[in-house]
Amino acid sequence: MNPFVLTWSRKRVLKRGRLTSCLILIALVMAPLVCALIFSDSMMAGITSKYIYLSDGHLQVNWNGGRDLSDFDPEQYGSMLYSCDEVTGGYALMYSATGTTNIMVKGVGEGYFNSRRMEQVTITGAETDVASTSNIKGIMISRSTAEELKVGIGDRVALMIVPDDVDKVLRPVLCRIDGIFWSGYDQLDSLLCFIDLDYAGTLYAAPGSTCLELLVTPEYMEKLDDVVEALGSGYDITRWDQHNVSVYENFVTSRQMILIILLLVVVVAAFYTASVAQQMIQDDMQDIAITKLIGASDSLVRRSAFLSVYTVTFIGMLLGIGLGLIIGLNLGPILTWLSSMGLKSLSFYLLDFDITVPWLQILLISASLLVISYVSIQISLVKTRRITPIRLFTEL
Amino acid sequence: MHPIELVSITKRFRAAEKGSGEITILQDLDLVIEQGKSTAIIGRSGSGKSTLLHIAGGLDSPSEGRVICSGTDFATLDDRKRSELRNRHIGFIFQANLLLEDFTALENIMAPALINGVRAKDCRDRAVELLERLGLADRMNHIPGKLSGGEKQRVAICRALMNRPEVILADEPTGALDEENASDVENLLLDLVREEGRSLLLVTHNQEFAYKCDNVYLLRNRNLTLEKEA
Repeated sequence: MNPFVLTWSRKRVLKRGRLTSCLILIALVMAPLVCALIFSDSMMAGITSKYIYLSDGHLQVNWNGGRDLSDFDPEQYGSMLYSCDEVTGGYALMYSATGTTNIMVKGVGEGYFNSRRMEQVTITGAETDVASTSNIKGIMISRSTAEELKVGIGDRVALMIVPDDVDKVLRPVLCRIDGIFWSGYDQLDSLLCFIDLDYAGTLYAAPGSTCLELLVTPEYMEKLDDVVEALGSGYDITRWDQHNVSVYENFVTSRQMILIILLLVVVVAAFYTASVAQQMIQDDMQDIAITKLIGASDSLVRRSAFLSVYTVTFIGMLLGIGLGLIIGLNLGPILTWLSSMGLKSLSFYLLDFDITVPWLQILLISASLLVISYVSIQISLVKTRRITPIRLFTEL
Repeated sequence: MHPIELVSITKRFRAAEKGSGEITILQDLDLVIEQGKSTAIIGRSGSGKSTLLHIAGGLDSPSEGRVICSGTDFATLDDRKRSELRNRHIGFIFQANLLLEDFTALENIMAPALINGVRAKDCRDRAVELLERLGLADRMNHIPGKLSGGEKQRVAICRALMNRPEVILADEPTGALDEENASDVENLLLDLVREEGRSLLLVTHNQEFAYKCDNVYLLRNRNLTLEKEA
């Protein structure tokens, strides 16, 4: 690179307040963008995990009128499957003395809450299995359901079982609250309750009410279709996203919309750099004319001005990404603190989630900023052509 | 080959008043700047001296005629080549010193070399040598705002000589200086030009300064008359 270009740019970057404000603005734009990307991506990944581990498993094996579910041998697929649990369930209305709520009753066996599932929930007041200890059957409800029904451990609730067979009649069942769980995602928690698998079998006896929930090993999490293919025919096998189509599609649409909105913000920021370049030319008109007088070509002047603004844009972008990462990586504690400070609306969101950094999307918005800035700055610098040395004596 | 040769130069300007047509400033003028010689052009204010110098330096284009710099007609060059020719073959000094305000004295002097692609560490010695010769060694890290008028003009002289150009074009280089400073700068400029073996085209209304040059022309009635020849 021409040594004069470097010297000129260094002087401009260090001395022009306008460039400093450009740097700050780009950093302040990029930081929340990166933060928003981390937040949305991490939260969606977190919610996905809650659905997978508490609601549906990675895959569900359903009876389709062919082979019996008891014939399914998970040992055959040892490297693919982490766990296989029989689940029986259906829908019910839950009553307490003060409230009512719709709920999905899941009958689960001993060992359902394995270590992977326990990473997703906090359970108080019960062993990890929900076996009954007396004639009144035990039940584990969520913290949000307990709050809604104003009940606690040891209290009783009634379940009005919605029958899965048209020949059955609607009947109430009394249960005792043995445990309360909290996954951090109230929207899902409020839909679920857990009871003993055998007892659930008496409430929901239709073959279609029972399924196998499969969790796959980490190396197959992104290859669920391969697992489905390996499991073969004879069963109706569905992925978690097929089971929760609307949730999954909402995630996909939300991610796309967030990315589009962030890209639009980046476009505006990139065009701002072009206006900074224009202002710089206006401010430095005399210096540009002097530089041309002593032999700088127009392209050299443009390269010098471009490098000044682009360097600032680049540094601002890096600072913004760094700041965004620092805030983004501490989002969990920040959101929990905000929620505890009284921002109730946050309780509808997942507050306890693992942070994932969406590097690809950060790279995409960074590349967009750099490309659009490059083009818009170059266009705005075309004006330097009009600054000729003779203007030093006629106009400036 | 002459450093600069003006052939049949005519320069017209559009008149300031609407409908007044054009004003001819220079008419069919020829001038040769000879290698190693100093040439002064004198004349009244508004006679076209500065316009002639701008045309000779490729800063302005003649309405008619050709300007040949080191054997190359300016009119045949694009912006990049014209700038390159100006950078390597011509040094400029003006009444307003036209220094880069953010650059130190040393950086201002090095600027033409940097533009020419020479790395700072390779042209620094030459710049320091020039500063020392003009008594500005202790001012090399000062920006122009911290220098006196005479010092600024000396920096401008150093900058003009930095790339060892064939010719220096100077337009009233002492016009803004007090008598003592003006005399110093005149002598420094002429001494340096002689020592370095450069040609000089000086435009001034200061007759005393002009007659220190080898050749003196008077610009009157849009053309040049030789007043003194070495």
